Amino acid sequence: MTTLLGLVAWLLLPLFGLWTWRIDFVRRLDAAARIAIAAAAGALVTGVVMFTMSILGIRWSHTTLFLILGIIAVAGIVAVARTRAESREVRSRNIVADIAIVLLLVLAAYAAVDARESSGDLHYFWGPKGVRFARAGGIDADFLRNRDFYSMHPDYPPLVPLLYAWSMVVSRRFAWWAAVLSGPLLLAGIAAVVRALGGKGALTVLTVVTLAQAMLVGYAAGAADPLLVFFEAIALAALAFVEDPRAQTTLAAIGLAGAVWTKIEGTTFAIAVIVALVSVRPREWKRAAIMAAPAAALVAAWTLYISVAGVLDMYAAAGRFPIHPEVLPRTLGLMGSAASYEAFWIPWIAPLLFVATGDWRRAAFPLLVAALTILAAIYFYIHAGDPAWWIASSAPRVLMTPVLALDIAASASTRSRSSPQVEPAAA
Amino acid sequence: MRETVAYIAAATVAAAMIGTIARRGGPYFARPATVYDHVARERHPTIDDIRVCAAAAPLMPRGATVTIIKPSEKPNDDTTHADTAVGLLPYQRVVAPGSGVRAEYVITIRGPLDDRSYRLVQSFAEGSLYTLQK
Repeated sequence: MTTLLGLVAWLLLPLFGLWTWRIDFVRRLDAAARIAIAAAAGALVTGVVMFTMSILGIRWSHTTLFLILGIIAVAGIVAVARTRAESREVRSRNIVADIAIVLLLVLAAYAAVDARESSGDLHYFWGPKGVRFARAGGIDADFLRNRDFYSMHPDYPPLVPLLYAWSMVVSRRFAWWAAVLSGPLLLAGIAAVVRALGGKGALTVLTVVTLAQAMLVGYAAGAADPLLVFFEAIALAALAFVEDPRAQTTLAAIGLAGAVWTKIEGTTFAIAVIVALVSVRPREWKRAAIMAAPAAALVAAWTLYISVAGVLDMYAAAGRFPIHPEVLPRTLGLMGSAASYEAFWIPWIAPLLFVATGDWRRAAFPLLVAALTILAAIYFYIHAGDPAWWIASSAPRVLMTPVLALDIAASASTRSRSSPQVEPAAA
Repeated sequence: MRETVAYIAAATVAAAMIGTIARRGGPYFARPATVYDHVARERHPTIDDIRVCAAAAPLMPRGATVTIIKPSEKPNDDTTHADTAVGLLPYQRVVAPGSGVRAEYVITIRGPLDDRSYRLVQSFAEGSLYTLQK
């Protein structure tokens, strides 16, 4: 029952992001993509609501959270109902791809349900933080300040512990299995978004299987990485495939804001996205600034909170750890080994092959993001005198971002200029 | 042609995924008791923490202070046991070993507690629960 209720908490998230359905472009996507995008927005809204309540001293409880989030859900439902019904389900364009995606999601779900890809960090800090926050009825600054639990990374971004706390408020006891199952659930969300926006059946299958294997090899279920990659997929797919400016900006803003509040690597990703975007499309710098604004505001809010709480740590780590240039060759070797994903480096070779034989200029933006995020990972790793353990334990997860960007690049390089993923609005 | 190549690549990665799953060992269709039961052929260390905390939790009052250690790791206590216990014992106050707080309860993993000021409450398959003698 606890697991079921914990999962219900995750499945309720789209209700809090229904406002995204007011965007014409989103409304014309298929149901799976609409739900996935609403879930991303809903996760962000839930996190922001819980954070704000904490700041204001309003205790989280069934009553307060259901009331506030319920109002948001009802407002979303009313707004969507008032919107002209012009959505159309997209007919399946590639039944083989759809069947393959479903089979891969079943395989990923099996790996999670059978306890084969659970993250150690779920029990080491993501879960305990969620439990403590839920028990305290808010972000527990005293707990974060407790030096005994410094290894739980007190200043890590708050979204995953907040969502775990939300899940615990719903289920009353922490649902460890629901946390693990959120991995394949988020993979399904990624599949829905990439399939709907990318519009290339076979390459979407490649993206899904690559991320499924990366999550398995990286023991990502229950960690923050599936949520991070989910937000990253929305941002990258929006910027690579969506031509409607309003939809592109809104979806990218959701993806970037979610990423920066999920992991510190999310901030690296957001910076890489903005740098890549301004480099490839310099005339769009104003829109780049607009889409980065919510992410910047959230980073600022969290940094201010942890500063006031006295737990500023990794966000202020610049200069604390020296660079060890001598470990660069070893770092590259270890990262290269981790990048094989126990699949002969096919997750890298295949998309690069498509980019090389396609229109690489159309893939310039995601390619640049892939390159920048790889460079960022190298930069972080060479701050350790002996990075072997760090790379072994994190590289398969960290490299999910560039490998996703490469998959998006492969789709972009083989894509026609029109947007095949939505049907024209009804008259 | 591109589509075929993409499917071949995807099928190869899917086969690799099945291989990765298989290498983590069986049983493949038995309901796991903890989220770490099948992550590797070797027993994941957190399984012991999960099992012993689940068994010990009902034997401690709400709000009691408790610490958790693995005697074989002394004197370099691994704080991940205490970190893990924070999530597993939501109604007790977990204190880290070496924090200076003399906890009312001590949970040991795979070994007895070498401290006469505590008495044994109950032993479990994966460890024991001790309480501070009044």
